[in-house]
Amino acid sequence: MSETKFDAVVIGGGFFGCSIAAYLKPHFGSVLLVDREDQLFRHASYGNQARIHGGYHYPRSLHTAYRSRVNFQSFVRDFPEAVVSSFTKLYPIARNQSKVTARQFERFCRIIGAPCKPARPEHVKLFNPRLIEAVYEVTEYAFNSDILRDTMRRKLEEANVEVSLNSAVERVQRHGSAWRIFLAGGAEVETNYIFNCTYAGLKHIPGLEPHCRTILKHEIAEMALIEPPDEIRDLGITVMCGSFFSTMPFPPRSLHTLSHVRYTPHTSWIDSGLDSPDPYEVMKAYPKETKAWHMLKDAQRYLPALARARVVDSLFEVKTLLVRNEIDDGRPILMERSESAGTVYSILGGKIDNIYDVIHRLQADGL
Amino acid sequence: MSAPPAAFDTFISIVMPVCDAAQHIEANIREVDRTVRGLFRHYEIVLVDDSSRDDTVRIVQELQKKVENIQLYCLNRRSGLDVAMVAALDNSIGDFVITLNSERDPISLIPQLWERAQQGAEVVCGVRADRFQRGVRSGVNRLFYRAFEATTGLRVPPGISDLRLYSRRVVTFITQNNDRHLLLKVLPFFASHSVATVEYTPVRRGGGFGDRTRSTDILTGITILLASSIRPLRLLTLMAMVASSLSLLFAVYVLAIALLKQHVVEGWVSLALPMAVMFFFICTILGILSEYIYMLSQQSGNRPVYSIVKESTSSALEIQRKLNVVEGSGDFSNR
Repeated sequence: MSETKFDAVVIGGGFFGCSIAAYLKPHFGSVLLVDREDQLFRHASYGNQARIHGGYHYPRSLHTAYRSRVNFQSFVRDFPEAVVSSFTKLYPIARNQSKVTARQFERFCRIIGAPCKPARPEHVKLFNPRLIEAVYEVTEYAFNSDILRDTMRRKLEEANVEVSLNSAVERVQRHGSAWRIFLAGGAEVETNYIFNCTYAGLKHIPGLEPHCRTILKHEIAEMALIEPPDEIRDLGITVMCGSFFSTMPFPPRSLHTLSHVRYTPHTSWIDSGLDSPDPYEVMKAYPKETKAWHMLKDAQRYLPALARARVVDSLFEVKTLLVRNEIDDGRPILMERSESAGTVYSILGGKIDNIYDVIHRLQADGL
Repeated sequence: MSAPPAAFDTFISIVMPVCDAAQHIEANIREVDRTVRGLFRHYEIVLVDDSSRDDTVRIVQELQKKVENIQLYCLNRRSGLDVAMVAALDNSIGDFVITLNSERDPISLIPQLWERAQQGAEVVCGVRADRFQRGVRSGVNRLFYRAFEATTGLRVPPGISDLRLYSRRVVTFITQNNDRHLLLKVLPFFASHSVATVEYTPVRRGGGFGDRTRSTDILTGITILLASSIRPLRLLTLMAMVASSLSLLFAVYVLAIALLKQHVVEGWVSLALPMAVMFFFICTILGILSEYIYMLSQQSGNRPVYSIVKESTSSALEIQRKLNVVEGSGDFSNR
């Protein structure tokens, strides 16, 4: 590390941490980005469904859906090299136990201005008509997390943001009117502005816990990786809306992800701060027994072609949510600001395109 | 018993409707888990709660924190064992599905059902050891099975219980029938002839489902017969045609008497003729209606008309080899 004093320190080298650090640099003289791992984008930014949300996924929360729609356009414009749009995205609506009907879904798409049309007959044929009411073709893309990471690394370099890997934050202390941050490896850094973008680790930085008071919920989530049968290779499919599944291209590995609302969450717990266990420790200790077979067997009833899919691997990550969004589709971003010695921002977002709402808010705060 | 290599990727669903089963549900589930865990690598235990009023649901949800792969569904209102069983089948995901009446069936039979399935059976039924007992009840039962075989051509083993094993193909067939909750007893036999039986003696645990009463049995039997086959309707048409022909003949006879006979009782013709004509109309109308009902039932497409049991394709290797062999000298005509 070249200096020991920075105008702003961003903790967490995922997409949010990197984007915020790159955004802040023109406004702050010196910005440091630290991450505990040996690489950026190690956790939540990589282990997900790789979906650029187009708003379709949240029919019960118009606000989230509308913002998603807007942010989708921005993301596609800003990161064209990471966008994968060469597949057809389908949204089949389940006939039984679905929270939306086909008609409701059509109306919802019209309201938020999202392109939605009845799927082609050769695609409709893939689904079991007894269990699927209707199939729609939409505009939704995937992103390549590896390419996105490289783009962000380049942006950080061009912006002259200092990046320090293998630098877990051991603790944070007040030092007069500033923060003193102690990093693994012995380095110490001083700053007035801390941006905590550590996702699952948000409430587990010793010294910062009083500054993030929102209650969080963690899930150990399994994302299966499958070799899709030929019929599905060029398709992304999300069945709406309930205990159903989603399978989409996963660009970094040329496979498809498969997630299932019923089997993806293995276990969950409430995080109220340092009394609760460190999510990454919980994950390390968790015996990762795959539920990929459950996912496939369940999904096969809706999409018989999946019988010819092959399970290749499974990604296990901690997925973090705000407790208050358990019952609705709302997926707001958490931005908690705390003033003490210096300023601490605790930032958490669940979707890759949420970043634009974060930047808006930072702009509004005069940063 | 260790799982043979074939069972490695096979996914099993063990399915149990429950109702007011707080007494025995935990012991049952734990026994299922013990039995199935050694035998199958991938499985689920599906419980459908039929609006229990006791602690059953709470006990199961507590158990879900300790035992893996338990899936619980709760119904909206009390619906009975057959509807709960249907809900369970609709929501099961296994390559094979084993159904159990948690109040009557011993869990230890699961390996035997699986063994029969491995020998090629698509449907395995538990049959009660006491099914050949004498008595009015079993006499009525035998009558039912005979009538069923006469109308459908399907032979159902006597004394079958709720303890069954189905292959995925059979479950798919069952779930395609709108009236499957009425016909659950016999539907599997429509789907497959690879049927095996496992004899056993049911146990008795408490619970909210209870036993089926005699009158329920008789009503169920009649429903099954009428829903299984359209032949009774055809019989109806035949009877209507016969009756209307007889009425017509009788009307002609009355007319003949009136015209040819000298001394006819006062008022007989004016009584008998309208009656005969009326009956002719009524029977004809009923016969025609019966035919339309037959047509409507075929068109409503409730039950798959057929189900493919086996499929095989020509293997092209031999054919291709022929094309590559050119025999003879200079003769290029096809053989």
